Amino acid sequence: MPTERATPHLSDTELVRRCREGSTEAWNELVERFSRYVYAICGRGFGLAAHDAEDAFQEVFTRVYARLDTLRDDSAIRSWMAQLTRRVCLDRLAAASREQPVEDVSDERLERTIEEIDQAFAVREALEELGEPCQELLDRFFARDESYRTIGEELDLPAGTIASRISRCLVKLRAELEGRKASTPPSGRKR
Amino acid sequence: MDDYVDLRLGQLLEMTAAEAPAPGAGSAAALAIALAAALVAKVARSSRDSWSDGPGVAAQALELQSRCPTLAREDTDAWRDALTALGGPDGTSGREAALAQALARAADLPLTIAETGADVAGLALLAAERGDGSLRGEAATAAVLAHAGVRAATHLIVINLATQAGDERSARAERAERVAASAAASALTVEP
Amino acid sequence: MTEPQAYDEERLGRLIGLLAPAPHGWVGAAQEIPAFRQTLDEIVARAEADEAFRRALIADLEAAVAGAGYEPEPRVVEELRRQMNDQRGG
Repeated sequence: MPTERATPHLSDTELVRRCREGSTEAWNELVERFSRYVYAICGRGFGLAAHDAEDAFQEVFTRVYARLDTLRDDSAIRSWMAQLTRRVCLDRLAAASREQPVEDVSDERLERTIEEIDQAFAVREALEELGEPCQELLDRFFARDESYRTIGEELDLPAGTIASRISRCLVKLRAELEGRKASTPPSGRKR
Repeated sequence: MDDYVDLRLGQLLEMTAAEAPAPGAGSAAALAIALAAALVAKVARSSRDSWSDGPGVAAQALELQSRCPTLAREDTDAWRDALTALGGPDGTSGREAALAQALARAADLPLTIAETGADVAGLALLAAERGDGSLRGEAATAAVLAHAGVRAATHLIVINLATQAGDERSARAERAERVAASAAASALTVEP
Repeated sequence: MTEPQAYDEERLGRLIGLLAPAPHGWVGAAQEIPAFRQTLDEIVARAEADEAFRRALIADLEAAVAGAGYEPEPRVVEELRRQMNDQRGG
């Protein structure tokens, strides 16, 4: 069963350091933090079928675990994982095409999708800063495809108010991101 | 088969009119709801200067719209699986298990379609009440189309679960139908 | 990377939707990788040091793993079998 996050929010650098020290909690958090990202690259980016995407997903985290010591810049864990995921997915596509022809993913479309997935990750970080209920509302509706009725039941909110709440949360999220953009120099990263 | 979102309208209409059982009623219901969602997005986008929630409503309408072609396609697949299971040799426990599973899935999807439609109908009412008055016709049409899709999907659940009295999915679908009906009725009477 | 476009509500909704949760079970399985690797490493180390154990693994992999006190989970068995086949060049 996936574990709930037990560690206070660690930076990527600190998380990697603790993983190297053998912390189970840190490893669980690393998987949790990047699972959607890896899944998105496998599914949306490379269009892998469910079974192949699952194998690729596990292979990526297996390689991350085995090769974490080779990561030179701990703060670059995400881009490192993106590269790993690409290699695993390309290998999987190559293996699948040996069995039957698969549709080529054009490089341009793939790059655009992965760039969007990177932007989505930044949006998700900002979403976490908003806290509840916005984080749950926006995640349940846009990422988990839940209905207003389900969201209302789960969050104990009247279903008829969910749409307006979501609209207002989007405004807050936009303000959070515009604030980050204003405070971040063009070449740097906020964290 | 291509994802429905990649098909030309003419192709989709031709496939629906063909003698093959699917795409059929469930897919048609989902696509009616997709059109309704698109209309809501139009009204919300056009009202951004006068309606502060408009951009957020547009985003939600587009999200609901994006779910529908997949639901339509999955409904087709579920219905095909159910027909395959029905065609299995009579009297075997394997056939009965496969049939029960296929029929359950064939009821789950119309339920999701119905609940999606109820959400679109709710957004359409918001758009009718708060969106640009010149687009009230679009908003009301969206509500009516969404309700039609919900009504159709609910009927399909009743048909597929006919032998399973008290199934929770029927109750949920009927609830969705009431929400959509109320939204459509209200949207049609919004005063200019 | 190109400069990100402005974040309007529609784009935000679409971007949030790109990061759906991984299917049920995937995250849990990935979180168990360290424990899985440790089990494998221990079994492989024992096989390298103990010829009788190595022969037992070849004869009946699941039974030998269970007999050594490990749960013969499909993932563990599959990976051990793959490593043994690789060693044999098959």
